[in-house]
Amino acid sequence: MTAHPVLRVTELEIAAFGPHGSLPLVRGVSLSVLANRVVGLIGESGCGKSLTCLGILGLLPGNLRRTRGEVFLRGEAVHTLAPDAMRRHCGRSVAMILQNPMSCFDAVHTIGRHFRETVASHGLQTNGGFRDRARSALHEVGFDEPDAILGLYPFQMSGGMLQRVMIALALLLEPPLLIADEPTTDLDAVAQATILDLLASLRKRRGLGVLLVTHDLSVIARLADEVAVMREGAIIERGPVTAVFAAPRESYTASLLRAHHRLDRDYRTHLGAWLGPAAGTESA
Amino acid sequence: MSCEGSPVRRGLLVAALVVIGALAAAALLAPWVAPHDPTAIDLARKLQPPGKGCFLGTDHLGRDLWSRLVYGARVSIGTVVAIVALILVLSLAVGCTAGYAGGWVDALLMRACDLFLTFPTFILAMFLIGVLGTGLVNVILAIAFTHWAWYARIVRALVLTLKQRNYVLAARVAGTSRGRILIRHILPPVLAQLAILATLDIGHMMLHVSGLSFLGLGVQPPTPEWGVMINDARQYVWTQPALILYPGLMIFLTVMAFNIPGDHLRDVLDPVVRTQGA
Amino acid sequence: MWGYVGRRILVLGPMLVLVSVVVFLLLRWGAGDPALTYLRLSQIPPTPQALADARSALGLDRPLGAQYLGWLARAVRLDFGTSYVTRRPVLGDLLYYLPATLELAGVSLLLTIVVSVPLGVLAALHRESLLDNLTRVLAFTGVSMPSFWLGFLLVYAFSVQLHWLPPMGRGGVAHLVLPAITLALMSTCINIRLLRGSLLEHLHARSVLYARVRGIRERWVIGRHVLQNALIPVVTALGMHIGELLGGAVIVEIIFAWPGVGRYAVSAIYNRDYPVMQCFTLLMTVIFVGCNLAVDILYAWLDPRIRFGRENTA
Repeated sequence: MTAHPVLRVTELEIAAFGPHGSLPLVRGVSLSVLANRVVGLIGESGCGKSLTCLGILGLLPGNLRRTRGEVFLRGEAVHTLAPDAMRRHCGRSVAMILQNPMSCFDAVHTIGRHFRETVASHGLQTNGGFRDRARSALHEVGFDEPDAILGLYPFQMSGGMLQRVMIALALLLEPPLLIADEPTTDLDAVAQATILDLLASLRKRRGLGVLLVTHDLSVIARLADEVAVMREGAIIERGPVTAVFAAPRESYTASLLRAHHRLDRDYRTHLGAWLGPAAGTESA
Repeated sequence: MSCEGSPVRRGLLVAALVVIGALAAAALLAPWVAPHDPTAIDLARKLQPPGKGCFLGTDHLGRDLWSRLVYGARVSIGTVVAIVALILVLSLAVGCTAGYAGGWVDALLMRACDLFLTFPTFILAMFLIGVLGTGLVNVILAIAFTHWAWYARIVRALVLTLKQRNYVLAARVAGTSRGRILIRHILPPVLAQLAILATLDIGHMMLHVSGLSFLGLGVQPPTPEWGVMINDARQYVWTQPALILYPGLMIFLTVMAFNIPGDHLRDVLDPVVRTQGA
Repeated sequence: MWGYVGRRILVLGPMLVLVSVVVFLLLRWGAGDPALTYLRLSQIPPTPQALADARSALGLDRPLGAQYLGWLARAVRLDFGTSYVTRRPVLGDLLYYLPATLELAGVSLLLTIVVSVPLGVLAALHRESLLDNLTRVLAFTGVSMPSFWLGFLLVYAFSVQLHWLPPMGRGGVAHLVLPAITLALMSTCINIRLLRGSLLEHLHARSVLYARVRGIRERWVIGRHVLQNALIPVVTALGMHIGELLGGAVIVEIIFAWPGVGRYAVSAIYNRDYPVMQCFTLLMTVIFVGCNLAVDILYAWLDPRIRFGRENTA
């Protein structure tokens, strides 16, 4: 398939501007996500992964700004767009799910309200029209009674449920690209597994391109086809997941992997007997 | 105000602190700073414009306006300090007991607080004056009794949080008596928070004190107090507005001088305590 | 929702009874002998016989508990005694003056909302602009200003010098202007600062970011997500404002010779007219409590977390 990648970022730079000058936070980041591919972006907290995502959408907070770089969504240049024009792409050409879903929903509005305003903001029919879209989206993420969910307030639901609603909202307008920023952090293990399974099946069913941002190597291993390792605002290594994880070129990547394996090994050592003989296989 | 650290803001803070210092100095040194006796009546020289000897002129009884303003600082500062001290004592006593003891003691004391909080503050202060009588001491008592309940609740909330802190639990396990735990581990941080909160409120309390005095329910003439001076001068708003202007200006500048550092402190304040406030 | 309201009302009843007990007891234990005051205000010489007669007439020789219950029984029938000074039923007098006070306080509250909300919103949305800085300076100044000083300054400027507005009394709209402004200033300034702070805080909330991520129209982001959340603390502060307005009205009524209940009460307190003092305090407290209840209901309507009993989440 030689179509445009759903996302292409070239040499993106983001800096923080203060009274004493500017501080570069993201330096020369280039990414490309094709349809039906999952690109993982991994790095420790504070390396600039989330900022990159916000920079792609043009939603950087306060004193941060894009200083260089280009962003293309399905071949269309969006880095030059004014905020109002960019708004039309948010949700439509690219959807994003964030971590800590409880803080992202507005507690004074019902879930249904969130769906309605999303549909209405993109000029699609509202009167009852949003309900059908909402119902099918909620059904797709695993809710058997979508109507009950629509009437609830966010604080009446658990983190895992809200994350699924977030994914439903992301799918509402059928975007080709999904950016998932730490989608499983803050969730318990069972909810994490559910979300990861859901993302995997959605990607296959809809041919989504996914930019998956996380600090958790097992999430990358589970879902991603390619991975880019980010450190202090720059991408230091990239490649297919199996290749990078089996033979990392950079020492930083190697140390990340080592740390993960050590934790994993300790876990298996201590729980080995309890887990039984099946646990002897490598974790990846 | 949120333009942190701007030179204007810092300049204002310095100015405010200077004003407070000047007021404190005036309060302490009044007998030496004021040129005349503030209560010396001289009807022959009443309602004089500013002239030699009388820097701002005289009031309707021939008393030197400037001297009365200076002595007024003494009354205002002294009253507010006394009120804050009384509130601190009351709210600490009730709040600590309620928070630390728990159980029915806590419930009872909190009902008492709720009771006081049911009244509108100024009306309650007026009523207490009616019960106690007018005068400086009664004003102090009245205002203190209308404000302590709000602080007591905050103290209680702080104590409840601190009670769970590890160093307190450790002290209990080590066998330290409850009294000693209270005094050494719980009281200091509570006192610090409380002092900050009280500072935020000083301007407000000062307005209530002078408000009551203006109504004739507070400090009584001939004691020089800025609110009383405005009340005395009411009938002269048409002819000698200066008699109202200067005392009011003093109140305004004093309250503002206390509000400016209060604003700065508010930024320092623990958000937990902040959300419990108004 | 109605469960929440019902629970609040249920708590209020006993609290108001307690309030009446406290007011009653404070008066009895407080300064002065009611019998003596009664005789003084009636200009009857306080001979021992007159005192004894007055005491039994006022029911002061009975035990305290019986006195209170007697008072309560009469209060339930809306009989709050007669004034020592005017010899008329207290409640009747107070209710005669009350509408003026309510008019003044009501207009001031309206003024507060109408002025503070737009200014607070504009100041927050155009942060660090000229409008914002000007608003902040004015708001900060207004908070420090004693209302009794401001009132006289306004009278001097607009009545004495410019002859635009009447200096005192109650009449048409012109008579309301200066008193309402004087009374409303403090609450308006507090509200502007509160709203501005609340808005600035919510402009950077995660829910706002998430709304933008979904491509919500900017008008809705500000109106639905920022404003509705930011208004909540402002609404809860309304209760405090009403308390300040009720108290501040007393001072404003004195300055402008406004024939309200506060002016009446001040002279009653000065005269130690106990029945009036008692009824006045209770009346204002009941009004205050009623207003707070209305505010709580409004708050519960705005914030579903309260209705579901989940205060202080987020």
